[in-house]
Amino acid sequence: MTGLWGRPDFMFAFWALVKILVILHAMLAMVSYMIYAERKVAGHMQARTGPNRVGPLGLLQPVADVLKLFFKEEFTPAGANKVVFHIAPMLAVIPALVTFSVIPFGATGPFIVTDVNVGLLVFLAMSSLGVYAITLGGWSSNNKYALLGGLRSSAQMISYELAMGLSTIGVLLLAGSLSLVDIVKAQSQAIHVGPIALQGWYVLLQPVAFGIFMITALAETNRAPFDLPEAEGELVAGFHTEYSSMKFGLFFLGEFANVISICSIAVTLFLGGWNGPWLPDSLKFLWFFAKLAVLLFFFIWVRWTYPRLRYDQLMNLGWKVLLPLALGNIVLTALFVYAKAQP
Amino acid sequence: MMLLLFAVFAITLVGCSLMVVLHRNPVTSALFLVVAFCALAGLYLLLQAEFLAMVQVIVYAGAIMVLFLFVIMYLNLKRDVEDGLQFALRRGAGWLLGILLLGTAALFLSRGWAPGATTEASPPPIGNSAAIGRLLFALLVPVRADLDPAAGGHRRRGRHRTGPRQASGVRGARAVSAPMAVPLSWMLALSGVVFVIGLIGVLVRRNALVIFMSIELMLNAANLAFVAFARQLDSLDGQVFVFFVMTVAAAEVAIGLAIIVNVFRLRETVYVDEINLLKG
Repeated sequence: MTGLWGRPDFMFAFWALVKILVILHAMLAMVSYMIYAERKVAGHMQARTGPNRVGPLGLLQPVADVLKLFFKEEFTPAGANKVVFHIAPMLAVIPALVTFSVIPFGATGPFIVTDVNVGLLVFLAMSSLGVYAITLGGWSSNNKYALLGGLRSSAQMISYELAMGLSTIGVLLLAGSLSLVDIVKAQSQAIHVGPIALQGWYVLLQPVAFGIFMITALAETNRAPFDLPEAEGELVAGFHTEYSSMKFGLFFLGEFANVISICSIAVTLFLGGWNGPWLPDSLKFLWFFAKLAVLLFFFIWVRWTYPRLRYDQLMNLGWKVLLPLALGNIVLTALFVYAKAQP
Repeated sequence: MMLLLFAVFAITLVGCSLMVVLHRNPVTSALFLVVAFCALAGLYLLLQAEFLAMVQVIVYAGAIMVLFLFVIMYLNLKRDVEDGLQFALRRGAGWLLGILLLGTAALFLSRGWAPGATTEASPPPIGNSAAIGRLLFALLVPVRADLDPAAGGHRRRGRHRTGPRQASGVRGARAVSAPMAVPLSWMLALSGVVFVIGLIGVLVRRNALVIFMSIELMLNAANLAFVAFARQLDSLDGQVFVFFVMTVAAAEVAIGLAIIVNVFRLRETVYVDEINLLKG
């Protein structure tokens, strides 16, 4: 056993597993309190108090919710494709959690799980796999509303994936790397505007890309005002109409895990990741989570502020506004980088 | 370890390809094809083409197969009849041809055929994606000074400082692995087997959507051969080829599926034997 502890590959595998376990459980806890925060914020925005019965300030509400879901009846509709019906909720959660493996949470080793030189592509790949959960869930339920929700989501997510991918290219041009750690490090140099030194976050250099990214992030996670796949006014509950018990819970979990992962990517790409003044390197992760919390609040805020888009408006926005804007942004950034590289 | 991973990915790839061709339900076929593409991405990782592996998942699994699923659900096919004497005959011919080609692949495998001895693999000092980008755009744009491996040594050093992370991910695997842990002939045999399965699918199936999926399978088999050769010859040209194949495949799927949808609207069928009149 002592020999095993001395081997570097074993130690690497051991610490990687420990990191994965910690991040997995931290994220699950974050998801449950994100749901609590959503209900609380929604309540206050509508002049209510939100959940306040279970525990002090209602803080144990997520526990009660999960327990309730576990004791609900597990129901599979007649004529459903059973295998796919069971796989779909798993597919909702797994890609969202895999994304966390490439996100650098802090400046020091323990907060970086892996640093691969295709980190951003891993995120894009996982977000494109996320479509399957909703599409398959909708199709396998053997229900017309669920099918319509699934079809809507596949069209919507394919359309917005393009604009999202293109909006990140400006950042890649500036940072010159696909590794998320390198991108964060590239943002650590200050920008000097006259006598003032600003934090070198790419949101200052790429404001248009940041706007496009956040709008497409709302669409990719099916959050209001882009929640057409589950538009309750027209499709009952969209793709998860027929789901009950913990399978419904998994879809819910997947949606919120996706929100957190996409906000983490936004923090990494545009808001400087762990970079921030004052704190020592080992505590820089607090900056990351502070920025993440701001973006998460933004998501909740938008949901309870804007009405849902019509389907044609959604497609027009994606293809005729965001896509050309993102392309123009790439051309401008490339020209800027090219001009700067000239001696 | 590499051999074990290769075995897992190869078995998944071949099994899923077979299910694509054999399963009657087009949605199930499409799902198995997604799994096959993910296994292929794993093989690309083994061949140190991590950029292509991710693009494979994004383009094939993420975009192309979602389009396929969308069309299959949109058409909502009710019947799946494939019988009759001439179909049985043609099916037999398809299988015969397939087995013949499989025999050829087995011959390659048994003789361990491969192009002559290769140079020791020297991983590019920059990452795979940067190297491909350099190859694609070097003619158009001067290479940026801070990305040049000679001038950019400080960037690499900063990365290697952090203990266990050094061995993590693909970059670490490159430093540890032997030049090519899996023999080229195995990769080529796998590529041949997948190509033959795709070919059988084209010859045997009548559902235009499944035929189209089989064509994708054949394209991907060719891609695997390209990447394997690129790895063996220590040159990125093969990977650039695959990059273009993927781009063309994405465009081709959009047009092909549009044609299938229009045919379905006119004739209420996607079975190629029923679309035998040269009239709209």
